[in-house]
Amino acid sequence: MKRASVSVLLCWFFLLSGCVHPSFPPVAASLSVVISLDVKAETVTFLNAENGRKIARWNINEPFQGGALSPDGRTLLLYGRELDGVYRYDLATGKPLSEWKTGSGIVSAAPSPDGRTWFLGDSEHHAVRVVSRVGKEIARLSVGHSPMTLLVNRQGTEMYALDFQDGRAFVIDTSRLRVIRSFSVPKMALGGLMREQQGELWIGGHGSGSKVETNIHVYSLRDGRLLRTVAAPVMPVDFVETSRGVFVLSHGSNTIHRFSPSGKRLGSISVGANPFAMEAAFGQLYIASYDSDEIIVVDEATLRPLARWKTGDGPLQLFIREGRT
Amino acid sequence: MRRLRLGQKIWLSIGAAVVVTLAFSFGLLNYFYRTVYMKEVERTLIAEGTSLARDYRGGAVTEAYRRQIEWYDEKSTATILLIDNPRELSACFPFPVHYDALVSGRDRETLLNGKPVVKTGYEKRFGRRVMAVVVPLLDGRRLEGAIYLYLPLADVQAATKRAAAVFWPFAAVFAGALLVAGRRMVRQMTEPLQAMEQAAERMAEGRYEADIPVRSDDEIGRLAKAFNQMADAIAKEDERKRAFLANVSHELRTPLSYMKGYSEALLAGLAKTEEEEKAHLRLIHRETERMERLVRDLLDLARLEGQSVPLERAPLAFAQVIEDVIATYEPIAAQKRIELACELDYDIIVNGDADRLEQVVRNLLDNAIRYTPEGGVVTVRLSRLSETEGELVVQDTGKGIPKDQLPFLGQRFFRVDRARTRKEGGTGLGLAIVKQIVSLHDGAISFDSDLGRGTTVSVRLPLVWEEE
Repeated sequence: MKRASVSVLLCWFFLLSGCVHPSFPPVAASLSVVISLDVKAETVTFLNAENGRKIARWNINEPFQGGALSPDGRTLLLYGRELDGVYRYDLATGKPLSEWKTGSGIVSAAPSPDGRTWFLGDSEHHAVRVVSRVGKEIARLSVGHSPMTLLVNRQGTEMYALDFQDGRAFVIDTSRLRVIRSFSVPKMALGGLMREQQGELWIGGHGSGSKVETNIHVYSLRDGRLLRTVAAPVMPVDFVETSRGVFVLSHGSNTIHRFSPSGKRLGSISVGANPFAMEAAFGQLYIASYDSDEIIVVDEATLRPLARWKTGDGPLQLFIREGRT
Repeated sequence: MRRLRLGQKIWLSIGAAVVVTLAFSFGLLNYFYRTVYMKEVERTLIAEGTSLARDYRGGAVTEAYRRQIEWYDEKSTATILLIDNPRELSACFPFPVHYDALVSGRDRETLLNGKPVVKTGYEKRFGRRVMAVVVPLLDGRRLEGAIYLYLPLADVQAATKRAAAVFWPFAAVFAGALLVAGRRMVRQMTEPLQAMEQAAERMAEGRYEADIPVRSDDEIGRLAKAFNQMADAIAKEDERKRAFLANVSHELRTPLSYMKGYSEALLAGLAKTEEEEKAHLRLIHRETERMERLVRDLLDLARLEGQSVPLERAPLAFAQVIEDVIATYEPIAAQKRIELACELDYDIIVNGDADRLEQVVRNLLDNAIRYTPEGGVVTVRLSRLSETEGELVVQDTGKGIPKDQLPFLGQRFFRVDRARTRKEGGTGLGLAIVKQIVSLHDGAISFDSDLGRGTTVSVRLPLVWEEE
């Protein structure tokens, strides 16, 4: 009897420690939360979007480098170049969902607006892999070496994959699952914004070699032609467009640049220490400050800082999940 | 291969030890010099960098500050760079920008914590090995820049080479001095050994003078001294052996020549009367007896010395033995008009061989009576010295023995007065036999004498322990 219970216990232990990812504290669906991916600490921090109070911190303990949130805000994906798959978690329960066995090399992920398909940038197969909601691979589209930025248009009909290394953008028709064209962009391009009304694609980046990027490159969505460059020093890497304009985050100079919808520069503020990610919600901008391990909340209208919220070490990416009633 | 001599071996060992020690100390010196010197350089660079960083006032790096650093760079021996390019500061570290920045991602973490980074090794950017110190320019948590100070390692290592240039001449002199001193030491050590070896070879040939020089008081010196003593002892023993042989042949020859002479006279009919003939025969007989005694004594002594006949020991009343002997000497004493005085303790029990102890008493009495003139007194005294020791004293009023002769008493064929003794019939072995028997009984014998007053012989013997 005793022996049986011991072996059951051992089995449990193995199940818990080996095969299955551990469960984490749940995050109620009704709450609006700011989700910070702290890559240095390998944690995910959930903060109440209203007051910045910490709701949960998940210790992933795996070297993930980024993630994506499903359009319904229920599922969080985590990926990393060294991880052998894409980890998925249900926020409402904190439980891991079945892992997508993609193999290593995943460097980006983006859902279609309807949430039915996912696009995964694969730096090992130099491809964008299209997978279904349950992780079944539908297509594999050859793009450049390291598709680190994936941009999907509002209708979900087109997707832009920016290659980080080779300096090329690939346009993918998501219904036909085919690369329809490509055009050259600066090397180490990272982050972008599709402005469909204006027919523009804004692309940021780090700049290659010792030369740092100081400009935003604006391309035509129609034919990929370079329309102009917009100065936004130094190293613009994240973009947000709201009714109050276009906000660009430059991590090299710790600056947010604000532009009018027409692209006129309106102003800038200095924020954070080496910030990499910015999100907008509730009339506020949330900026992840990588070196100071915090989220800085800035008023969208006045660009005045409102609050600083502590995260885990090295917040690299942010999501805002709005609560549902 | 020729076998090495001891001296060579020791000298080689010393040489090897010196070389190893020098090499080791040079290595150690090098190591310490390097660590201490490098540490010092590192400290200086950090101090300079920190001092320069103190002038940074926050915000973006200004042109004035840059010029200040450039000015200092010109003056300083170290090369000083001001880095404010975020790329060089690894600001893009989370992304694979494939750029070999001066400040690595890990260094950036250290700098963000306000600590300087120290790097030693090859730096690709400068194409050589350097010692570099990076000091952060922090504005809160923002790493706005860094001051990068470096010195080529070749400069640092040149200092080690200078140290070596001083070290090796000194080391050579030191090693030379040590080797010379070592050589002397080895010679001092091995010379007596060689001398002993040669002396031993000479001894094998029968030459016993050793005379090894004793130069030190250590084991070798003491060995040399002991060797000399041993050689002396052997030489003396050899001398004694020769003397003994000479004595024996001499002692035997004397009676033989008497016997030969008188018998020849008898054979030649030189004795005219029967009376004369008888006198001759008596002489021959006397000499025969003497020879017999001599041979018996020699045999006795040889047996005692060789312990071929073990003692038959039993507890016995020593006084009884003495009394019996004295009884046999009373007629002779009376004839010589010598008074025999006795003081005997009858309680003394000795664990001994009765016959041998009797021989001791007889020989001693023999001597005493022989050398005591008429009218003299011979006193025999047996007394208890302690619980465990008794003493037999035979004292005469004879002419005595010169003090300087006393140590030779008991040696074989030693006679105080050679001519007279032989005439008086002694073999010259009596005391030697006594001495031997006493020693076999674990006793001791001593002599005391005053010229003209007499001689005292004391024999101390262990007593049988009477358990209560």
